Amino acid sequence: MRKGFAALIMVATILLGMTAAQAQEIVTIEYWNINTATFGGPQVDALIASFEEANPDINVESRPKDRYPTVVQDAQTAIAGGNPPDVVQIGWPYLNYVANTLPYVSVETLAETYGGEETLAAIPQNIYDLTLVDGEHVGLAYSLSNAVAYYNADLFAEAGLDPENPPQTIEEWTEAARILKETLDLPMIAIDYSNDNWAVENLIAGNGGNLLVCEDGSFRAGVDSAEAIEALQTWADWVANGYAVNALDQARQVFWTGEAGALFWSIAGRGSIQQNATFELRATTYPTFGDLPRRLPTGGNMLVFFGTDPVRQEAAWRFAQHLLSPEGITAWTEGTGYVPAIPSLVEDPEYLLTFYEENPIQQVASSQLEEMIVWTSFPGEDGLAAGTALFDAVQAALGGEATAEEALTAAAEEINELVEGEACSAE
Amino acid sequence: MVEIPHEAALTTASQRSQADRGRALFKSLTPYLYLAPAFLFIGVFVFYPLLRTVQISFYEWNILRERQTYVGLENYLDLLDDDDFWQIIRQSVTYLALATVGCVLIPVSLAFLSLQLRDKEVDIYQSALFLPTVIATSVIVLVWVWFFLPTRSGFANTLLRPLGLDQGQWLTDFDTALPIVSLVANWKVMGFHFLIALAGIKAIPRDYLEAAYADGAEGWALLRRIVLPLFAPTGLFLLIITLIQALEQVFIPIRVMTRGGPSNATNNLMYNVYIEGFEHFRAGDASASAVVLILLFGGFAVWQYRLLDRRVQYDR
Repeated sequence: MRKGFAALIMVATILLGMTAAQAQEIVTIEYWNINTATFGGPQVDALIASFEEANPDINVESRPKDRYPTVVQDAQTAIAGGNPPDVVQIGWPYLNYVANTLPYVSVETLAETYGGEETLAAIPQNIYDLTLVDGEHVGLAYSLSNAVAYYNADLFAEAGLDPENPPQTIEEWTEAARILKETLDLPMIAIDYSNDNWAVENLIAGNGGNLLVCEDGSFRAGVDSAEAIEALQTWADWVANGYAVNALDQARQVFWTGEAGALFWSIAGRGSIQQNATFELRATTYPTFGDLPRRLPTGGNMLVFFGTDPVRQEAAWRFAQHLLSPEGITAWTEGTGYVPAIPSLVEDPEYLLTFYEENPIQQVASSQLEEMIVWTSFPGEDGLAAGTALFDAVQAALGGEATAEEALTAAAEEINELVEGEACSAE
Repeated sequence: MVEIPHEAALTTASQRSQADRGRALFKSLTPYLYLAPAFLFIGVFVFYPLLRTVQISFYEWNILRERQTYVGLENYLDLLDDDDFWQIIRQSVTYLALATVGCVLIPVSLAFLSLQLRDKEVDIYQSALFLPTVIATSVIVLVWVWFFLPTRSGFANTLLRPLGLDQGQWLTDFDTALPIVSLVANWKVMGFHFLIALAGIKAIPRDYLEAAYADGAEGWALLRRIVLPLFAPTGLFLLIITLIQALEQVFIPIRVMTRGGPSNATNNLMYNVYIEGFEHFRAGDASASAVVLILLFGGFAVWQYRLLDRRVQYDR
């Protein structure tokens, strides 16, 4: 009897031990993002650390990529190789591409399987629905941004420009650039642009142009319009006159080393620019073309889930809820500059109110929220190639290899071939 | 004497002959058996992908989709009809020409010049030249990116200001981007090629040189008639590996510094295969481009080898 009891205790102990071991088994998930060391990387690491502390059974590995197209391309390769990443920051222009091309797990499926409705309920419906395609949420709206004009107040003062009244229109920026060039022999603008075409869309949209036009139910390129050509030629002239430096992705270094007067870039970079700038950093609204209304493509990204293993799926879902919690969003906005996905946090003293009151640059982005438009997505399987065609044209114009008209006309021809047959709705 | 029955004797002889044949067969097959693992490896990882690449080049296929559409030679015709492709070919040839200078002519010249130095000085010289070879390419490239920062305080601009050549926007400038990318790639391997060249020079038997001296040869005549012919196998080796690796070694610098830009100005055939295949996911176009790359540069390498091999003196 005693022996039998001892055996029972042993079996129970082993079973308990096995259960405990299973409970201790750590799940590792991958979080793909565009947050390199100088663009929100430390904030991602901090958010992962706070999540892991609260969830010791989950290990999150950050996989930073440098740009949104790279994220999409690498994710496609990984998925094709049977090793899908778990949570991925997908830039807004790739929403339709991902919805039509990649095997994502919808938010509805995840919420139905693993819960988390309270997190979703806290996100305003209009923001939550930013990821809606054909009645299904492709991902969770996470990061929102718009472009602002950062400027170096010290250089302005040195050149005799008034840092209290920075230029507001393209014409005023051109004049200020001329003065800076003549007095200090420095370029005013460090032009930052990349193959996601966000920066050039800010420019073209501001002059009333569009990258794509919906005509008779099909897409065609809009980049050869007079508005687009005039806008790009403005940049090209700035470079040719020495008013701007064609620095591609070196623009931020150029600006924060104090060798250019201004940088038109995302509010999402506010944290890293503030951290690196060695001068008095200020910002004003993105310049307009004369009296034309400001039209700013919405920058940022959504969190999309590709994992197929249920255990990892659940871990990824829990991690996403942490990122979208009021605490997670507060840390994200304070560290990077992204506009919070729950805007009411800005008025909440427990979260972002004080921070916003003390950061006038952040207020500039908030003041432009009404002027945000959809960041253009080139549709279809050749959408990424169409984006490359436009990027090449911008490089050709800024490098002086072609006029804006020549470059954009050629790009439009190529884009039209690549998006041929892609249906659209005029709405 | 034991008599063996006739049939039994025949059987035994036949068995022996069969065993002999088996042994002979095994003996003749032995080298192939030794080679089989290597053949298998090369077959699976080289020839099969090569044949598959040729096959895919006749299809239109987005890697992520099941659907593959047979298009015959259309991918090749599209390439030939594409101005960008011809620009890429021209740039590939430029990369090769610059690599020949940076990875053959300069290291070989430096190796010859280093013979004028004392042993200790050669050691320092070797270490300095070899250092880039052992540092990760991506790290080196980032250093060069900073070097060519398009600002007044950028290192290149600071250095060139006295010559009035500052304020360059180096990596976005159509005239300077390709030479800079090539410079970085060649600089990375130059030290390694220098060592090979130096070893080749030092392997030239001294008695040949002494005999030539004794016969009155010196200076340019000694170099041209004795040293260079004996150095030729090493030179040919350097030339061939440069040709094979030139487009490959420039891949990371392109990726990090320019991504093929500005507007395709630093793209080459190998990088284009990557862009088409893994950025645009057009497997057919990428494969056609890869086949052209193999044919063009494989053929060029064979032609160059045959041409130069006739003039090379191997017998020492």
